[in-house]
Amino acid sequence: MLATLLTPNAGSIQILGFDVEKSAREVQKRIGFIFGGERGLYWRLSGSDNLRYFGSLYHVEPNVMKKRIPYLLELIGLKDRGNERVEGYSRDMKQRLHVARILLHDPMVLFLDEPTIGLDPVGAREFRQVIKNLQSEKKTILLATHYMFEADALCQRVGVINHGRIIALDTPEALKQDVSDLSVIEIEVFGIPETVLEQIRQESVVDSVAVENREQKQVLLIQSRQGAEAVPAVMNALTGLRVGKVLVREPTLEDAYVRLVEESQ
Amino acid sequence: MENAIVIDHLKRIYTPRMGVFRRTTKKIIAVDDISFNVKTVSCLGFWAYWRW
Repeated sequence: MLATLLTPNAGSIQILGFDVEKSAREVQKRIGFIFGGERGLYWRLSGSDNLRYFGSLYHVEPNVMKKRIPYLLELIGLKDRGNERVEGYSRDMKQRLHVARILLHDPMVLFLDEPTIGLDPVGAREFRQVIKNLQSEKKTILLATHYMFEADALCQRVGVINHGRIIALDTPEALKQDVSDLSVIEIEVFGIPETVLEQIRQESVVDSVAVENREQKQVLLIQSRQGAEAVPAVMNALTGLRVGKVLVREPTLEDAYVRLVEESQ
Repeated sequence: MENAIVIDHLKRIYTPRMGVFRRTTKKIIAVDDISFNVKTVSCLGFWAYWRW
């Protein structure tokens, strides 16, 4: 909807003062968006030729492109690889080329939809640096991500959407403050029934419970103000079930969000 | 301009038709009456939570 590709059922979106539905063309000139994944580039063309092609689609003047393409390749760290075919690029290099593609027409607003998904840790870290550089280019960025630390590192404000509704929208620091007095107990279990989960939720020492499926096992993420003292009560509820590792740790920003989601359900 | 993006009471619900005769409809709520602003030259992140 923000990228003018879909229309809303109700409500309005304004980007740089233009209504997305009424002035879609004006909005399109001023925005750029990328989705996670490798598609959307011509693999048999070089990085520079891809940018030249997409630049012509954006009606960027050839003399402007002549200066802008080398500048963008340097910005994304592909200055020395611009003349190589895209098919030889790694996944993160392709993703960085996508960033250069959306910057060709110098848009003021960027939408990044899970830009680091599927990247290796080193590639993701380099890519996050590219996004940081964009902020110094005076861009407004809306980022959707599944990685909490990414939102924490890059964004001034972070929001959570659950079942279509915003359940939190604040600075990362303010959101972390909400769980500063909690501890998280992680317990590996194998085949936990819903009745046992409900029993744990009813324990007075337990603030919230979430379950993550990891291959053959489940991991219970229990938030408690009692810390390790809550472990015996929880283990008592798990009597008769196969239990793996038990770990008590400090909460992270991700735990703050898990708690918000649990509370909203 | 203080806000680059202004979203006001935005709603989008999908009702895909499924089944052999494509008669079964199910509501998928993408956004349900959400409002927020993004200040010019800032970064706003949204975290999508999912659970199996």
